[in-house]
Amino acid sequence: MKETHPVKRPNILLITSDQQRADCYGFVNPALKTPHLDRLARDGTHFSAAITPNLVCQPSRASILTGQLPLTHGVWDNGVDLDPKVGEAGFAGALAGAGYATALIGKAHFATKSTFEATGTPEDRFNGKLYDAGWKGPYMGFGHAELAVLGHFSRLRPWMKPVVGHYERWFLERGRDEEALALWNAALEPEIGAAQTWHSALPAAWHGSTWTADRSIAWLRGRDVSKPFCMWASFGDPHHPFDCPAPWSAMYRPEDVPLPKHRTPDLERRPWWHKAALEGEPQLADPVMKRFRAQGSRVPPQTDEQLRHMTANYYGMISLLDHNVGRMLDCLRDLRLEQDTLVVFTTDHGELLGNHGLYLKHPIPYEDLLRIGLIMRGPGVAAGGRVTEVVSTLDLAQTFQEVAQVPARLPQQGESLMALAGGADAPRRGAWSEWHVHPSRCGVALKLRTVRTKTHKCTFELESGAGELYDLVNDPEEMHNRFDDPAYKGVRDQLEQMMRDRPGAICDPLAEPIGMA
Amino acid sequence: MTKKTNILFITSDQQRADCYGFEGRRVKTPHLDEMARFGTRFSAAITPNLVCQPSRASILTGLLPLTHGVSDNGIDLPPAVGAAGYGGALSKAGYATGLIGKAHFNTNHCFEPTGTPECTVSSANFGADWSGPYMGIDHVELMLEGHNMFPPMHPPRGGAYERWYHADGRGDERTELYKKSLPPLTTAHETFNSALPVAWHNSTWIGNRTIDYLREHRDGPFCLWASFPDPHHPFDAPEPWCHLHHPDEVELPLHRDMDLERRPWWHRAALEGRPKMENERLRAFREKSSRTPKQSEAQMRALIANYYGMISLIDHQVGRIRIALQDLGLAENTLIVYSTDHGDWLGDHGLLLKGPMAYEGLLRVGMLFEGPGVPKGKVVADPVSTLDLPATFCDYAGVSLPGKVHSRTLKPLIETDSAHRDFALSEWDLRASRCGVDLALRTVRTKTRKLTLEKNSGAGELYDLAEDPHEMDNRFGDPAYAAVQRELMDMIASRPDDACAPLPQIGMA
Repeated sequence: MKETHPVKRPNILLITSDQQRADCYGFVNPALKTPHLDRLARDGTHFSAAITPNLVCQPSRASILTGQLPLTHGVWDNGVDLDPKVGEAGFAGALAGAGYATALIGKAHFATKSTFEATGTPEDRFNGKLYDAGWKGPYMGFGHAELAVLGHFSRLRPWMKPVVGHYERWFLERGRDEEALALWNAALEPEIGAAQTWHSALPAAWHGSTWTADRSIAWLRGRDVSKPFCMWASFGDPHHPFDCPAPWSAMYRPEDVPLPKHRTPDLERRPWWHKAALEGEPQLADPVMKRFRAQGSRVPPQTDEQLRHMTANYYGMISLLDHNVGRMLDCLRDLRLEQDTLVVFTTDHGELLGNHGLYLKHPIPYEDLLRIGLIMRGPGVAAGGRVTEVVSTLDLAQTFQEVAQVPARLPQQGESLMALAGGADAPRRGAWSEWHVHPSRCGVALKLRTVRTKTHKCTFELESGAGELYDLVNDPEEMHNRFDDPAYKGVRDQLEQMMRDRPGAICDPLAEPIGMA
Repeated sequence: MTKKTNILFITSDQQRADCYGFEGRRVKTPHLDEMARFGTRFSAAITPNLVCQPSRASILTGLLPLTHGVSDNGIDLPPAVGAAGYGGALSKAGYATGLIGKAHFNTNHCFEPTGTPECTVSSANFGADWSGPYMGIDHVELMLEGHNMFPPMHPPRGGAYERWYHADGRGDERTELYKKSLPPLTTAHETFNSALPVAWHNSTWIGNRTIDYLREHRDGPFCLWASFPDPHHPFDAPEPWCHLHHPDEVELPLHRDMDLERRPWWHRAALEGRPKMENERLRAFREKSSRTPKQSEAQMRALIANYYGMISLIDHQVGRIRIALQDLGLAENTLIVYSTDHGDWLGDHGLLLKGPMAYEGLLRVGMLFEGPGVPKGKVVADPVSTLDLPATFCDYAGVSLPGKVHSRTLKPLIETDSAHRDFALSEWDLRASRCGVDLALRTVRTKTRKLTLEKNSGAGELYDLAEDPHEMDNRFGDPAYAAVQRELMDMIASRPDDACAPLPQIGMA
């Protein structure tokens, strides 16, 4: 295709992890080693107050793609599929339409894998035949797709055959008689009872992080060089289970990792739905899914030793991921693409990792879960920059569309990050996060709306009128809920107004879930 | 027309034959173990020489060291002899031939510039675009300083690896990280856990470049040598591979005390003799490197755990490379061969690294084959040599090595149960620059025995490996072994009388 744009358009490489806390980067946490992400941050700009528009995978990923908040793109909880018409109009479709070569490698999670019945999407667990036929996209606007549909495996959920996902198929072909699965499940060190934590005997060469980088590098090297490219390389770690493979599992000694200061449950200080989220009975008909929801996504209280093991394992997964990010960045360098490529590293949401006695993720928007890392590097991005304005991964779609000089195909609720990344003084009011929680999670429906400013965070549960308000300047550990504190009435009113000012239209009605996650 | 078989030859440097998971030691090599299960391995393969340059020249040329002329480190392989090796033969037959990593056909550290691309000084005369041909091999991406005794040199010196390392101007930053020791700190000899991020480690680079080469040559036929410079000392495994084996869990040598009183005279000379060299700095260097300090048990454990870690990192690259072959649809038509240049004493008899004592830890090497027609799970116990590899490569490619070579194809031993070998030879002429006195060592290894003769003095050592696998009792001159000794001496004497005139020693290694 002939170049029709007067100005050279940069390539875009979006790299994401899954469930990586904002403080789990070497450059903010000396206990953790992420030399490649550290260097990316040194050569680029770090956003230290970026949040996710939703606390779980599917809605937040759909927001990254579309530039819309969850109640606008319609994926209001896990288990709800992104409408392909909406997904295909996201940044990938917009850039592909303007001559970009586009690819998605790794975990997508735009559609549900644990479906109640066949939905026909490439991520639907009943759709193995699609892969028998050699499908490799297009998907949700990306011209090329190689998916890790599970991304992270579960000891509680059996695999359905024929298997869905390029990575999962490749994984089962390793060794003999599904040897990879047996090795993954085997522990190299005695398990000490830390929840979902073991040193996996899976060789690192067969691990999903290695695969994602290898396939991304293969695509980069084989791509159509006459076009600029836009690739989303999407890693499935450090999401639980904490199944870091050797030797990365041996990198951190449990006694060396920091523990959160407030690591006992403190539900008495919190609004009612915290308790419901932890203890309510999931409303799910399928007994396997219900067991998974009750056991797989909740963690019993951990001893300090168990939490140390879990944390060390989580760190190991992050270092493995960092290594693979380094390999991809080296590939850009080797292909002499470094100067012309906008690189963005971020994640979909955080992980509670023992803070307030909580683990994994819940409809409880502590900073652990809400705040995420965001690093940009490349043309137009200041080297060594740090942005403290509150931004969101919602802003990425418009960022990509702006640098590619492509009009958005969907109404955008995010704004380009380029001015901030370039070092401009461009204050933001704050950012929104929202989650309508289906009763399949905790037995009761919740309508959570969060607003986050530089100094405060307030979450409103719209059904009950309850809420929580934290003063992040004076109470960074979120120990004092100021929602009903008369001294904070003015702040609360302002934040409530900001919540009401949420940009964009809200889907009505919202689609019913067709699966669990 | 049937497609020609591709050949992918992978080597490590200084990896003991027992340092594979399938040999029973607790070193973690899941991918090499899998290769052994899916292929055929040789359990009594040896190296034709105990150090790098002569053995590598033999692997290339199919000639014993005294015939190709590189009778010790510091002697360059004559270009015409190198070009007549397997690389040249396969290139002429239409193969794309390549080498990525450590070659060491020529000397790196030379007394004066030699003009070869491996001489650290002369390498500056080869431009950034130079990629061969070299010694009959079309395409090379060289690594001149793979062991990191010195940091990767700055361009214009160096090979493809060094240029890559420094290309973004941040090589020195990498070197600083490389030098940083991570806890647990140890005082073991030349041992430290390196803070170099493993994505920048040269094992990773060789894995990456090999995979790229395979992708670019998927239409074949190709013959690629991927040559890793580890687990050669210093013992500098990078994180996290340095943590993979806990020192408490590694095996210690059974006999780890010095026992020179049981050994022929040159053992002591090698450890205590004063090297004859003009240059005092080089003389001191050589003297120091032949006298490794005695290691405590804790030091030995730390050293071995680190050594295992380097091996596991190479194993990881082997895993990635095998996967690439499978993903590219090349596995059915590619012969993969894994081996090394020589071993390491690793504490046996109180010795570390290498020298003119042909114990099994140093002499015996691993050798694995996997690919079309290679039986699965087969173990061949006949004595063979890495010298036999070039003839084997050519046999699989359907061509023959030119000239009269010592290399003999292993294909019949792999594919049938009727072919056999009685012995394999190893040889090393050491000049007085090593230990103050010339040594002419000739070794023969059969399935169950080994004899080394020092030709100048007539002294020797003979071990009955079946009865005495740890080589504690020297039976040379023992009347009970007179017939055995005679038979082994005849094997040594059967070596063709085709040695070339001694070549000049122009450097250290």
